[in-house]
Amino acid sequence: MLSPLKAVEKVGRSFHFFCRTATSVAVAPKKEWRFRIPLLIEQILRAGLMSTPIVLLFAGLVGIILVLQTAFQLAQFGRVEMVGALVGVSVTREMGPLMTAIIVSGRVGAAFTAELGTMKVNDEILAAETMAIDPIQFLVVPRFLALIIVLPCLTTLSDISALVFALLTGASLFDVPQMTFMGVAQDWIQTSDILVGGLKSAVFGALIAHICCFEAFHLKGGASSVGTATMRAVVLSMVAVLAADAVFAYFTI
Amino acid sequence: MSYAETDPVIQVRDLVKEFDGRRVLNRISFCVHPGERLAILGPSGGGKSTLLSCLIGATIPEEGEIRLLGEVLRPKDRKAMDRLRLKFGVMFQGGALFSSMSIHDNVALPIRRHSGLADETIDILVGMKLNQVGLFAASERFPDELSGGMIKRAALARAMALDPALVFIDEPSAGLDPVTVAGIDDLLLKQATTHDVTMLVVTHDMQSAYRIASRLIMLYKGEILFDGSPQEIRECEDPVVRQFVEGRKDGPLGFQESTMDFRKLLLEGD
Ligand SMILES: Nc1ncnc2c1ncn2[C@@H]1O[C@H](COP(=O)(O)OP(=O)(O)O)[C@@H](O)[C@H]1O
Ligand SMILES: [Mg+2]
Repeated sequence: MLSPLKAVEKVGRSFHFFCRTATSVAVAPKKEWRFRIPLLIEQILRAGLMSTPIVLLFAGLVGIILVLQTAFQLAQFGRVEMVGALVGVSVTREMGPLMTAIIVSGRVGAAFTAELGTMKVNDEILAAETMAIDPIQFLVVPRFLALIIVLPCLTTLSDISALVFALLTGASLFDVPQMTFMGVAQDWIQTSDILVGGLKSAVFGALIAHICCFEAFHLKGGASSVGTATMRAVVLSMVAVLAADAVFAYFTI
Repeated sequence: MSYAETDPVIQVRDLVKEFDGRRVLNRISFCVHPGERLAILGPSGGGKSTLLSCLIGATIPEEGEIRLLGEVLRPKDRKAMDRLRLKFGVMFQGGALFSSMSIHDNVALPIRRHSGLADETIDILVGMKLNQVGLFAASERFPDELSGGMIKRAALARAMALDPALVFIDEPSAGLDPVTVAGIDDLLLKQATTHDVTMLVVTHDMQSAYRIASRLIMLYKGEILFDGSPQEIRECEDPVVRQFVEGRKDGPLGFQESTMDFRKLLLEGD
């Protein structure tokens, strides 16, 4: 296990790595963007394509479960049509951003650590450095920006998927008319829910990308350490996402 | 003080590197002059890789000073390091090519990043570089589709991409068959002479060192045991050098076998 001193040291390194990434993003010379944009597009496409199907499936199932769980209770009070509000609010505010971030940690974050970790083990990161190519600029920044952009988009998709499946379940099993479902959902979902959800997602994206790239850049040892680093990165990023969500929940009561 | 063409390309003074209190490099000093092809030799664990890592700024030594092309190496000063890095190339043992890029793009990457040339010009330049290492036909292939020898060739092309004054080469013969090694050695020699670069090659392969090097340094237990020409090492009397050059099993070098008399143990039951 990690000794306290080592843990403090690691947090320090992680913070330093984050600052380097952030400054690289912010103070890039104009010519840097010429190299950055193709790399960024590649990462956006990869992250997006990798996780869209699973995010849609996952969110759809969650939508169905939410309806099944709540509709019976609501029916006892004779308010089964309120299911649209319940599902709509909980998905856009909480479930959508959270489950999308968890899926992306496991899918894209793991791929980041595995890929960059292999590059680290094969001296490819050192090679970039010896060619005076900043590996943070070349490898980390595109991934970091890609997740900040992709995660809110995926969250929107997952919101839509959850609502669509919830609507279909409500209509077919509980005879909630589709128009009623949509009307109630529209009345109850506030613009601020959607904005907070999007902002949360962007923060989750930054956290996942940072943690997964950091673990790869700082791994020591051979090929076997890539596996352990990947596992650690996924676990840490899930914990970080949940912790950040708690902070958000506290500040947006 | 400015750097003149005739000044040493590499100056190492009193270099000390320790790992967990154990000295791996103990006050190493040497100079490499322009046009020399220096082979760093020595048994495994002698500190060759550590020395190379210090020279390229990837490891920070405890003591001592390194100058490359007249400039003091300061690994922590990113700006100064990057300026210096444009003037030397490194060929890594495993190639360290980017596996997501074709061979062409691998060689083109440093040129794209640092030259500001038009894409068409870069393509022609890369074609020429790959042609020189005999990989012109393979330029669109990816690193995982190449043989070990081809990877070394591509890595050399990339190390030479920015026409450096100095190249560091780590174990060019590791993991290759003797015929391929001879081909790579020949290529290194040709590149060194036609492009007028200074070369520092880390190797444990004596045959290969004889073919490439104009000068040899042997590292043993963190110290320089021998420094001289190929002719001088052939005539060197030092028992450690002799054993290494001749590749004999018995002598001061090597694995100290530990054995135990199992027959006695079994018969006497104690
Ligand atoms: N990162 C490191 N941490 C601890 N010990 C190391 C490290 N790198 C090298 N060493 C030790 O330094 C010594 C010299 O290693 P190295 O430079 O790799 O020798 P060579 O390349 O000549 O085989 C070895 O005993 C090795 O165990
Ligand atoms: Mg070595």
